[in-house]
Amino acid sequence: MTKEQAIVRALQGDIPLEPAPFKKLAAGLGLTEEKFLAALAGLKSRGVLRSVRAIVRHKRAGYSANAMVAWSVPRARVLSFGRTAAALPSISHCYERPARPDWPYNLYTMVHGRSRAEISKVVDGLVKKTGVKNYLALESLREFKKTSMVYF
Amino acid sequence: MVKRVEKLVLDAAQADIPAVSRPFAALGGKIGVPEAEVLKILKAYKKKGVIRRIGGSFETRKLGFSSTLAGARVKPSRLAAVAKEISKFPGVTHCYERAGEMNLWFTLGVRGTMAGVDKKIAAFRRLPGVEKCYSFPVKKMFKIKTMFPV
Repeated sequence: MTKEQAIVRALQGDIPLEPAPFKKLAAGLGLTEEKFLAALAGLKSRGVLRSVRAIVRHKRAGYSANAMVAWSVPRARVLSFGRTAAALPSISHCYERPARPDWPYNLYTMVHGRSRAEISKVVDGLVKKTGVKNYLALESLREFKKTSMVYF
Repeated sequence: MVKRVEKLVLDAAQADIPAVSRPFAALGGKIGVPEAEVLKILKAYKKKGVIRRIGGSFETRKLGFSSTLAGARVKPSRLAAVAKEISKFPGVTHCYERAGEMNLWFTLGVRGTMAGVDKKIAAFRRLPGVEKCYSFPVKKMFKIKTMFPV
């Protein structure tokens, strides 16, 4: 395993909640804190590491309603639709994905809100703004798995 | 009820924990909260389960992984069993039953090229009860925001 992979491995789980967490992680890899932090900065500047941060279970943070909404957007309007949707604070993820012959949806948005009504308002607002009316709200009924990726 | 100081800490920690020797002191410095209190609040919310994890968030692709979102239609009587089987695979990080014709959705990441993803999807497609299973890899990313102001 390369040094970088070892660092990814150290950060893909939880960092210790203590004053100098990186020093501890570095020691576990036989590195100095300086070396570890320098490698971390390198990973960040190359965009490999987005950030070190707290990941919240949004449902427990008060965002009890969420829906993955799949939209069928005419190709010429994908860019403007995507930008409009992305600008909304209650939309956390917005991606263009391929449609399939029996599945015309090519744009996916994750909408979060504190109630179902809030979600509907966001979706209705997008319909009005963009004129795209063909969509499916794929409400989650059961969570089987939700975890973070283990890379190495 | 979330106290004002807790909101400050949770929102700041969701945005970025700086990569410095004393990250919690640095984070607290920006919002006027002492290091010890930052740590106390983060520990408490971790324990409560509001915080799922405190660690690195990576750009999967730049680590040499390929990923996709997959939607499947599974016979209702087989749904739980299929979901369990699919969730066993470590590269599956999210797996949900959702309302509608396609009733099972999951994310999948594997080391290497998209061919590895397709192979895995093909294997899932062969599970008994799976009527269809489509892979919808990202064509264009418009937004990924993972900040939930508390």
